[in-house]
Amino acid sequence: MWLSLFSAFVQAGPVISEAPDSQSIALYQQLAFVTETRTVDVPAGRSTIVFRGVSDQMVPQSATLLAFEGVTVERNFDAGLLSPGALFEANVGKEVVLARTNPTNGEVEVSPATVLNANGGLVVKTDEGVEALHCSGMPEGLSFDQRPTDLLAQPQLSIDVSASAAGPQTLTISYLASGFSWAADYVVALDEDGQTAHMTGWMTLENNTNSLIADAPAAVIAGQVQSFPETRAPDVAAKGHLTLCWPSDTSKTYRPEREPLVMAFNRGRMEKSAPAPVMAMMMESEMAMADMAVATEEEFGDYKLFRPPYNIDLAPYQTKQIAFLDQADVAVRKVYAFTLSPPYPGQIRQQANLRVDIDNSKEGTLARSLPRGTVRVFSPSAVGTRMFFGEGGVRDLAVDLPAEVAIRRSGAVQMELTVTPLSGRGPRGDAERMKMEAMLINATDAPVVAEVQIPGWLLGNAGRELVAESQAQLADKPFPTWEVTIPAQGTQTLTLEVLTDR
Amino acid sequence: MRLKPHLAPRLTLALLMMTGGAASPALAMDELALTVYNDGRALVVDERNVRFPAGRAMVPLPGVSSRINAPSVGFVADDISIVEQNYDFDLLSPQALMKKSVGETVTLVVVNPGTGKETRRRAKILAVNNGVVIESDGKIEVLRDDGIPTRVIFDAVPDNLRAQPTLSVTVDSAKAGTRPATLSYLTSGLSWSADYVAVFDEKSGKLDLQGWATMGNTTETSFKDAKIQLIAGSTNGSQRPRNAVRRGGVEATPEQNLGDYKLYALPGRTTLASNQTKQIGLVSANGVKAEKRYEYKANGFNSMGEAQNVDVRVAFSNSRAAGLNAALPAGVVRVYQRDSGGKALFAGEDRIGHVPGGSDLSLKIGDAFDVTVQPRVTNRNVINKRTTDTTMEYKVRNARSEPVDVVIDQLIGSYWKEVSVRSASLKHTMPNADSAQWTVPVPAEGEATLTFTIRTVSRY
Repeated sequence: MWLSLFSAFVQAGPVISEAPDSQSIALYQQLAFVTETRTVDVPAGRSTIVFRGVSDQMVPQSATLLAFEGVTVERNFDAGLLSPGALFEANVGKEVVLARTNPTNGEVEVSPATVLNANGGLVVKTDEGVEALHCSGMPEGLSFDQRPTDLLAQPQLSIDVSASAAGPQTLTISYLASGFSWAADYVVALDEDGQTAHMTGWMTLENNTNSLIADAPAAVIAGQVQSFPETRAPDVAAKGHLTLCWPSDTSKTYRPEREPLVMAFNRGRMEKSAPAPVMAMMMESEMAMADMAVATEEEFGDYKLFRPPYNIDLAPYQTKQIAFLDQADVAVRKVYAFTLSPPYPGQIRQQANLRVDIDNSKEGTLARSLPRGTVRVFSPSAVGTRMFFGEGGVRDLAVDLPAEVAIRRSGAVQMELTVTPLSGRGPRGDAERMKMEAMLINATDAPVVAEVQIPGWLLGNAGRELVAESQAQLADKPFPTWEVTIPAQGTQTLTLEVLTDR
Repeated sequence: MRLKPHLAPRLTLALLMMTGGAASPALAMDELALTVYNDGRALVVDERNVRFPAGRAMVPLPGVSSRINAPSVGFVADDISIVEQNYDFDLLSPQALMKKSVGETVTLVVVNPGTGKETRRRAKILAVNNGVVIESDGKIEVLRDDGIPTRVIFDAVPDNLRAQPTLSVTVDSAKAGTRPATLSYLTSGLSWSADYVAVFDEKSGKLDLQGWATMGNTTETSFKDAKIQLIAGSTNGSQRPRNAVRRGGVEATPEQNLGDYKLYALPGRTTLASNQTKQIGLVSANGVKAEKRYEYKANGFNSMGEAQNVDVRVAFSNSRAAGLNAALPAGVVRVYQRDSGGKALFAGEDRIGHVPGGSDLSLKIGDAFDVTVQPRVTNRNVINKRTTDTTMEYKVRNARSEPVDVVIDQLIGSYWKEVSVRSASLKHTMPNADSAQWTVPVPAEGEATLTFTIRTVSRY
C-alpha cells in the first residue's frame, strides 16, 4: 500500500520493453505500416516506456499508442547514436585515460588526459603538454569511465505516460516505416495457339532495413495511397569520426595530386536476393504452379488488400515473392499497333508496337484487380522450352478496364504511310485536303491483327478534321482507331482523308 | 539590478537553496526559453549568470546552438557596454593545431623501434604544407620521414582555436562580479509542424482525430529544461497544401493568439535533445462527422488514352457543430481505415495549411482503384475564328459492389475567354465563374456517361 502510494509520486527509471510479443505488417508501394503488441508492466503515475527493437526506419511522427489505459503525455524518438565520434564528442572537456603501448618492449604507459576537441581528429591535454592522438605512429588509445547515458545503440521510441493504476498492460504501438516496398510482377505464359495464356502474379516484397519482421500476418495494399516525402525515416547515420592528422607527406608518400578523402559511410547494404524475373522464370513451368499458395484479395477502403495465406518472415535486406494470382486459360490477343504521324506530303515507314491484350472483362476467366506492375510474356517454341517474348507494364487496373501491354517493337509487321495532297479544297476554300494511305505489311507466316490510331493531338486542337475513311472505326476507343487484319505474308491498306484548316 | 519580474519567485528559491543566508550576489537560476516557428527557426532566450571582470574583457558564452544565426545575437546585462561580438568557427583539430603552431617550438618524443627507448628533443615548426617541415639541432627535416614513431608535444593550444563554434562578447564592465545576463538569438535546425492521426469509419460517417505537435532538433545542441512555445503562422512554401480547405472558417477557437498567429505553450519545462523528435498532444476529438467523396478534376478539354483513377477524399469540418472546435496548425493528416478484420491500417495522407476554426476540409488520401473516368472529346465544332463548341464525354466506370457518386470538376474558363454550358446530360453547378461541376451517379459494377457541350468565345 505504502509502496504503491510512493511509486505514484516518484518517477522511477524508464520501463523498458525489449521486443514485441507479436507484430503485423501492411506493405505499401514505398512504405510499411507496422503494428506491434507488447506486454509492459506499467507503474502508476507518470512513467516513461522505452520501446526497443522498433524498426530502424520508423517514421517517428507516425507512431501511435493504442489500447493503453491512461494518458499519453509525450512521445520521443531519439536518434543520438553511440558511435566512436559521438563518444569522443560527449567527452570533450572531460578527463579520460590515455594508454600508450611501446611496440618494442610492450610496456604500457597510462596517463590522465583531457579531451580538447572531437572534430577532424582528436587533441588531448596531458601533464606534458598538448598532443594530437593517432599522429605519432605509436599504438595509443583512450578509455572512458562511463557510457554517456543519452547515446543509444539504435534509435529508440519512448512514450511518457500517466497511468492511474499499476499493473501489466498489453499495449499496441503502430508506426509507418520507410525502407519497405512492394511491386507486382506478372508472368504471362502463352499457350500453343496464342489465344490463351496461363497468367501468374507475384508480389515482390522488399525489406531494405536492418529490422527483422518475424512471423507476421501481412497485408499488401494495392493502389495509389497518397504519401509525401516528409513521411520518411529521419537520417540517423551515426556521427562520423575520422582519424585525421596534420599533413603527413614524407619523401615516400609524396605524389603530385592528393586523392580525395572518402567521407561517405558504408551502410553495409547486402546483395539483394534473386530479382523477380529469375524467380518468375523458375516458377514458370506449369507443374510447379499446381499447389501454389496464393494470397487472397479483399477490399480496403478504395484500395485492394492482398493477404498472404501464411505469416511471413522478412529478414533485413531480403526480397520475398508471394503469388497473388494464378489463372489458366486467360484469353489474350496479340495486336500490332501503329500511331499515325501528322499528314505532311511524302512517304514514311514505321515498325509496329507489339501489344499483348489481356481479357480482364467481367465475363472473362480472369476478372481480377491487377495492381500496377511489370508484365513478362513467354511464348512456347518449337523445341518445347519457353522463350522470353517481351516485357511491358500495367497501371492499376480494375476489372473490366482494357489491359493492354505494349511489349516491344516488331520489324515483322510494318506500315508504309503515303500522304498526298488532293486537288479539292475545303468548304470554306481555305483548307487543304490530304489523303493518307497506310499500307500495312505482314512478313510473318500467319495472319495478324493490326490497329491504327490517330492520336488526339493530331486532330482537334491542331485544326484538322477527319472527313473520309475506307472502313469503320472501332467503337469505345478514346481516339479514332481502326482494326485491320493482314493476311500472312501480305498487305492491307487503310485510306483516310483529313481536312487541314489553314 | 535589472531582473525580469517573472523571475522574482525563482530568485527567492534560489537564494534559499544556494546562499544559506551568507552574503553573496543575488542570482537567478538559469532560464532557457525557446520559441519555435514552423519555418525551421527558433528564438532562443537564454538567461544565465555570467562572471564579468572589471573593465574591458572577452566573455565566452559556451553552450549556444551549433546553428546559431550570428547576426541575430543580442546580449544584455547590467553595468556593461558591449564592445564587440564574435562567433568563432576556427575549430581545434590536429591539422589546425599544427598549422597554427608554425614558428613555435615543440617537443618531439622519438621511440627507438629497436630498443624501445625514448629520446626527447626540441624542434621548431617551419612550415605545414602537405607535410610538416621542422628544424631541430640546426638541421632541416621532414617530420617522421624516417617512419619512426614520434610524438609531438605542443606547449599550449594556440589562441582562438576552439573545441566547438563559440560565441564570445567583448564587454566593458563597470564593476566586477557575477550577475544575470540575457542572451537571445535565432537559430535554424529547430522546427515543428503538426501531425494528425485521423481514424475514419466510412460506414458510420465518423472520424476520430488526434493532433500532435512534432518538434525536431537537428542541431548538435541539446536544449535542457527549456520553456517551449510553438508559433503557428508561417509555413514552408514548398510544402504548401493545395485544395484541402474548401471553405475557410470564421469561428474563434480556444488557443492563445499572438498577433495573427496561434501560440501553443508547453506546460512545465521540456528537454529537446540533439537529434530528437518530440511529440506533444495538441487536439483530440472523437466522432467528428465525416464522409468519403470521389472527385475528378479536369483542367482542360482533352481525350485520354487510359482511364484515370479518381481522387478519394475525406471531407469534414473543424467547426464547433462538428465536434472539433480547434484551429488546426499546418501539418500532415494521416488517415487510417479499418480492414475486414477491424484492424486500422494507413489509408493515405494529405497536407493542410493553418486551418482556422469552422472550416470545411476535403483531404485527398489516394486514388480509387475501382472508380475511373475516361475523358473523350467527341466533337469540336469551330463556329468561327473566335467561337468553338466542344463536346466532352466522361465515361465513369465503377467496379465496386456498391453505387457511387463521382464529382467531375471541369475547368472551363479563364480571363481571356467567355464560356457557357450549352447542353449537358446532367444538371451542373458553378462553384465559380471558371469551373462547372457535375455529380455523376454510377451503379454498382457499372458505368455512366456524362456528356456536355461548352461554347468558348475568345475575347481576343
